[in-house]
Amino acid sequence: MKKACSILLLGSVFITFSSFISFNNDEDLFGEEYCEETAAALYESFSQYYSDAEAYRMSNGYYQDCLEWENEL
Amino acid sequence: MSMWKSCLLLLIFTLNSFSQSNNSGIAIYKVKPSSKLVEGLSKQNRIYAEIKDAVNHLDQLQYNLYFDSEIAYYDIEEQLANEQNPAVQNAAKLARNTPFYTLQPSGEIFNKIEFMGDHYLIAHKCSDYDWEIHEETKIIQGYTCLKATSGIEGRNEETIEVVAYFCPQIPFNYGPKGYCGLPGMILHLENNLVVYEMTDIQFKAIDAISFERKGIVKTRRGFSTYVDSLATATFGWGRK
Repeated sequence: MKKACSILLLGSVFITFSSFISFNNDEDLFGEEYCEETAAALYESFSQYYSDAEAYRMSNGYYQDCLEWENEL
Repeated sequence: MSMWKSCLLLLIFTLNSFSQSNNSGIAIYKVKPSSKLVEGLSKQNRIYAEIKDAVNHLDQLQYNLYFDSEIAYYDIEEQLANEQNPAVQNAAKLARNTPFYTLQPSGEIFNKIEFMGDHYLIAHKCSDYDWEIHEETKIIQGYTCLKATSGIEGRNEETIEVVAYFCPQIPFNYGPKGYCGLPGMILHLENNLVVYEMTDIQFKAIDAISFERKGIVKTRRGFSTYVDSLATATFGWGRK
């Protein structure tokens, strides 16, 4: 009985820990995806007005900043 | 030396100086937003505030076109290139802030760009513009100019109409932003974003324009495809 309880306890600790890791990964993925999507939309908008090089520089600048903000959170 | 000889030498010298000073000079262009840009700018646009701000500062820009019979160099006024005000910087991005060189008689045009640590020469030719000359005229700074139109390919392969007014009285195959291919200098140019108009022209001797074919040479389409591929690789542009 004691052994079964220990296995159950260890199992639940493992599940909780894995869920925590998985949750954190999802958060990272969400942040990165958000930055990618916004930067891509900005590139599309900037390139209607600015040169291709300028549009890339500006949207990539935003993208790098966005990744930094997400990592800080 | 006889009086006759002296007079003849003086005459030759004067004529030579006159022809040299008429073979080169500097044209100044000011800019304003095109009606298409103003009408098409919607508040729904993601970068509306930024573009609006840039549009409001276009009138602060000045471009210089240095020219002689073999080469022209067009660029933003040096002081403005180092401007710190972000709105003026964005206005310069809108009207372009990189130099153009036009070579004659080959009709080659090179836009010099620094990008990601490399130097590029974006090349095209005066003959790429398929100009149609119209009867409509416009007087610009006392010069009678003729209207010409051409369609250029936009980034999404759409055709953008460009309107130019060129002056046959000024027999130089140059214009703002590397535009050329007309029998006279382009004094007014309007695309879907900006209107460039000459406000002053001085025919005088200028310092020799130096142009080095140094850098990675790409066509406009080739460079655009390259930058798009970078955007795709960096943040997935065009994947969805």
